[in-house]
Parts: sequence; C-alpha cells; structure tokens
Amino acid sequence: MAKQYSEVVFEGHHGNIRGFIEGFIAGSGKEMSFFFSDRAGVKAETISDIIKEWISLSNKIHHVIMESELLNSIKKSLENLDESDVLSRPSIKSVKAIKAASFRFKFATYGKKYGDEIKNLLDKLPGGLSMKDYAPVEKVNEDAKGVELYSPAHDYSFEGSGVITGPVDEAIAFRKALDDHPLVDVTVIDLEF
Amino acid sequence: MKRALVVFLALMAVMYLAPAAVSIGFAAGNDTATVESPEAGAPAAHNGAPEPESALGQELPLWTVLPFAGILLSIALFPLAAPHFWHRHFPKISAAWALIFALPFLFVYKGEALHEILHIYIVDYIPFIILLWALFVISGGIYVKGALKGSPAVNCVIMLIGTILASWIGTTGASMLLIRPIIRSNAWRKNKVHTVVFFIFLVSNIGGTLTPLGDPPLFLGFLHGVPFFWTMKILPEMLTAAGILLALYFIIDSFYYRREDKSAMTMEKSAISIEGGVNFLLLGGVVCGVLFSGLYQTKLGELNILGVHQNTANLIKDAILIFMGLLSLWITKKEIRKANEFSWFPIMEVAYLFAGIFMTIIPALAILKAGEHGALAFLVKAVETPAHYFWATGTLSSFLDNAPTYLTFFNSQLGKFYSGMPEAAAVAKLIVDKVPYLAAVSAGAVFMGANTYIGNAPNFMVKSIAEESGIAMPSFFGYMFKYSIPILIPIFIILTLIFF
Repeated sequence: MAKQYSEVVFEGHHGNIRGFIEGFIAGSGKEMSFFFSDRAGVKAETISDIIKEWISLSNKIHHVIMESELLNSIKKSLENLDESDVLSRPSIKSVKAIKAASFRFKFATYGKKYGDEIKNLLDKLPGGLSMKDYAPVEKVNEDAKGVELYSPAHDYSFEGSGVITGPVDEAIAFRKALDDHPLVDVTVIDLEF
Repeated sequence: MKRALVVFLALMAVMYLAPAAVSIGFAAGNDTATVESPEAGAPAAHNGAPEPESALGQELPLWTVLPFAGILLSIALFPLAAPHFWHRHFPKISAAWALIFALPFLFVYKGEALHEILHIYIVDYIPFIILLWALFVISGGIYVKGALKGSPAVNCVIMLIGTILASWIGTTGASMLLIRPIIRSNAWRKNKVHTVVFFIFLVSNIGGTLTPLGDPPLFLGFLHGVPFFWTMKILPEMLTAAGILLALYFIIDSFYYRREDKSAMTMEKSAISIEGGVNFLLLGGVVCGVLFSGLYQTKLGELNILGVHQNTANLIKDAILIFMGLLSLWITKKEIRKANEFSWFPIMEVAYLFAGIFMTIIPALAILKAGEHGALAFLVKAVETPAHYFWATGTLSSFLDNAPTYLTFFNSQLGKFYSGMPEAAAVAKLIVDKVPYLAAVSAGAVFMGANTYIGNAPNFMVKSIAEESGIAMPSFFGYMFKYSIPILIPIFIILTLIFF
C-alpha cells in the first residue's frame, strides 16, 4: 500500500528542523522519508504567504513533506516535550494530508541521440504515476540535413509536453530525474490536498 | 557536390570569360579618370574608371526600396516563423523580390536599368560570392580533432583563437572550425549555453572586425575602395569589446564550472590536432590574392565587361581565389570534409539570397548616394555624428543582414559628405577625412550582428549545431533578453563613450 504523505509547516530555523527530523529518524531506527518542499521542487508558498512572512518578521516558515508515520511520531514526541527540554524546538503551524501531486514537463530536442534519451526517461515512468496530455511530435526531415546559414531547419526534431500525476514521493523522484536532463523543463509540483 | 561546383564555375565563366558576351577593351593603366587610393592595398573605388553619377538616385521614389526591405525582412522573419517552408522555398522568395524590383525598373529605365543591374552583379555580387566560396571551401577543409577539458581557461583560449582567426578566415569559417571542438570539450558539463552564446558574440561576430576577409560588410567596403588594412583602425574598439567579453566570460564560466559535477567528466581528453592544415597555406593565398588586387588596382588596366569597367587586378584576384578553392577541393581528403559535415548548401544559400539582395539594393544605394537630393534625405540628415552611425548601423544590423546594412550607411555617408562626387574620389576622401564615421559604420555592422540570432549568418549556424548537440539554446527573445541586451548593450555604450 502506498505511503500517505502530509505537508507539514514548521516554524523555526532550517538547520534545527532538519537536525530534529534527521535525529528523530536515526533514533527511531526506521526508514522514513521527508522532503523540504523548496529543495524538492514542490510549490509551497504563495507570494502573499511570502510577503506576510516578511512583514511579520517571524521565523522562517518551512514546508516539509513527510510520511504519516513519521509525522505522527514527531507530533507525539513534541507533545511530550517540556518547554525547557530543548533550546529551540520547532513548532508545527499546520498539517495537510496530500491526496496527489502533479507537475508539467516539456522538451524539445533536435538530435536523435537526445530524443532517444528522453524517450527512455519517460518509458521509466514509475507504476504509481500517470501521464496525461502527452502527444509528442517526432519529425525526420532528410532535406534539412546538414549545416545552414540563412535557412536553419533541423533534420530531426522531437518535441512534447505533458502532465505527471500521482503519489508525491514518486512525483518528486521522477521530477528530479527529468530535471537532470538538460533538454527537459519541468514546473514545480502542485499538491492536491 | 560536383554539380554545384560545375554550376558555380559555369556562372563565373559566363559572366567573366565568355568571349561572345564580353567586349574587352584594355584601358590605359594610368587612366586619368581612375582615382588612385592614398593607401596601399586599396582598390580604386568601383574598379577603374568611375562611371558618371546619374540622376537616378534623385528620381527614384522611396517605395522602390520596398523589395529591398521585403527580402531583408524575409531573411529575418521566415526562419523564425516558418523554418521548413523557408528552407524549401527561399530561392524562389529571393527571386520573387528581385523580379518585383527588376521588371518595372527595366521597363521604365531600359538601358540605364540594365547597366545598373550588370554593374552591381559584376562589381559587387560575383567577387563577393567568389570570396565567400573560397573561404568556405578552404576553411571547410580544416578539421580540428580531439577534445580538451572544457575548463574556463581552455574555453577562453579556444574563443581567443577563434576571435583572432575570424578576421582572417571569416566569421563563418572560424565558427565552423571551432564550434564543434568547443562543444566536444564541454560535452560533460551541464551549464554550457553561456559558452555557445559568448562564442557567437566573439567568434561569429566581433572577431571579424580587422580585415575585409573577416565579415562580408567589410569586404563590400573593400570592393568599394576601402583599403585592405584600413579596418585595422577599428583595432582599439575591437580589443576593448573582445577584452571585456573574454573577462566576463571567464568570470561567468568559472562560477558555473565550480558548480559542475566533475565526476561527470567521463569523456576522454585527447590532445587537439589539426587535419587538413595545408589549407591554412591556401588561406594565405586568398589573403595574398585580395591584397594583390588592392596593390595593383591601377597598374594593370581594366576590362569592359558588358559595358561595366572591371579592373584586371580584380579579375586576377578572383581567378586566384577560385584556384585556391579548387586546389583545396583537390588536395583535401574527403574524410576531413565529412568530419566537418561539409556541404554546398550554406554557400548556395548565400548565392541565392544575395542575388536577390544585390538586385533589390540598387534603388536604396542610388537614393542614398543622391544624399539630400534623394528620397532618403531625411535619413541622411538625421544621422549626423559617428555615434549616430554606430547605433543606426548597429540597430539595423541586429535585425537585418549586416552586409547590405553596411553598404546602405556607407553610401549614406558618401551622399551626405560628397554628394555628386564620383564614388572613387568620394571614398578616397572618406577614408582619410572621416575616419570616425566609417569606423562607426564598420564597427556597428560587425559588432551588433551579435545582438540577435538573425544579425549575422553564422549565428544561426552555431545555434543550430549546438541544438543538434543537445544544448538547449535560448529562443530568439531569450537570447536577446538573457544575454545580448544585458551583456552587449552596456559594452556598446562604453564603446560609444570612448570612441564615437
């Protein structure tokens, strides 16, 4: 069964939050995953949120995607902590369960070698994810082979775009794989709650 | 390949050598009407005895330049809007614009129109195509093999070599020679778009400033009487621009290089080697041929080809250039040209399109030569200082081909300063008395061709090769807004403040 993930908004210092979560996982001895939204390419804050944060001069807000088991354990342990137990403990501002995640991608390449690379990448779409609005166009135009000065036209082109939807952890991993290819552009991941 | 060669040689033979078509009349070497250039290496403007300036420029209405604007806009816009349509049909479109002008022009002006058309093809177009053909064939026989590390220092050295070479083998030749080696050297790197963009700035454009071989506009200036080494006067401007760009490139590339995953450098480094190096000797032959035509311009008499005076020295120069090109084809191994992906298509593009450009530019040049008496008097009056010429030529060269743009403003200077004077005498005065003006037009045409992909022919070629090598080059506007406007425009403002 797929893991359930939530978007957890922490208030506090980034290093403290990261250290707290990583230490918590290490101490639990279990394998649990989490992602900071800004590093994983997940859309987290609207411009108005950012402005509000600046105006209030409050501590930095951090959006963390974490699996439910980890979230529940952290919540429980935070409840059991006294104010004096830690110097600066992170506080949880909100929690939202994630139903699905999605992002758009697009690419355009003019070399067969790179077209094949992108096809291979998309063929490896993880089982939990689905792809929609994908109608790639591959053209081979032998007339345009060679170098041109004034009438540039490529003898090969492969262009396409689409939307990937599915569980957030798989979406984050697949988005990174696509983003690592220099000819593929990806948008940030939108979360559905 | 053979067919293209035969067509090319047949064209040259028909225009130059066919005894039935050419009435040969040797004029005295010291023809009194021939204006001797004050500097060595300068061809007498318009080759031999200057023909009397007609009143054509004062009569032609402004709308006669519409086909000229039409062909330049076609070259600028079709590759962006309909690349495959343009790729298939550009010869027909070029011919259509040429005929739209030529047919009514011939109908109204008859013999005078025929003379103007023959004049521009014999004096400008054919020597122009022969030079580009020779440089293209010879530089296409040189292959740079191997790949280096792709570090900022290595990239800077490759760009510096390209910038220097561009003035001697042309911006197209230098770009063809070095774009693939620099892409190979940087294949392992994730951030390489900026390298290709700076390559376009330096090697495909600014590097071609110092001789008429460097960039087509300067060769057109040479054909109209600007001495071979006159363009060396733009050395300070060129050094300033290239120096700033190289330093800036080194800083930007060092920043990106630090962020690269060095473990990705899986490709094997191999020393750079040059195959077909003998072609450098042939390039030397081309330089000698062009220099010869300047030095012996007035000493070898002239030929009358279909009523157009052409100096014998120019014909010998063209024969030398054709010979060098043929020699290159003969002695260069086929494998070298194959490795360079050499084909005749680029030079055919130049031949087709410039056939149309030279036809349609006739009214523009005639009107501009008429100065304040012509329909473009407002332009002649509006552009006054060297800074105006630099920016006016540059702005148009950014979006239209820079060769006709140069010729347009070159003629506007002749019309402004020496209206009514025969071209040979006017150019001889221009290159001495109005150095900052001509330097501004030359620098504007060459430098600002880098502002857009359509500013100079090699820009598109480099973009295309980079894209086919897996580099995500910016779009037309992306190139302008991310690179050329923030980087080049401030440099051109600095040049204006210092030099113009």
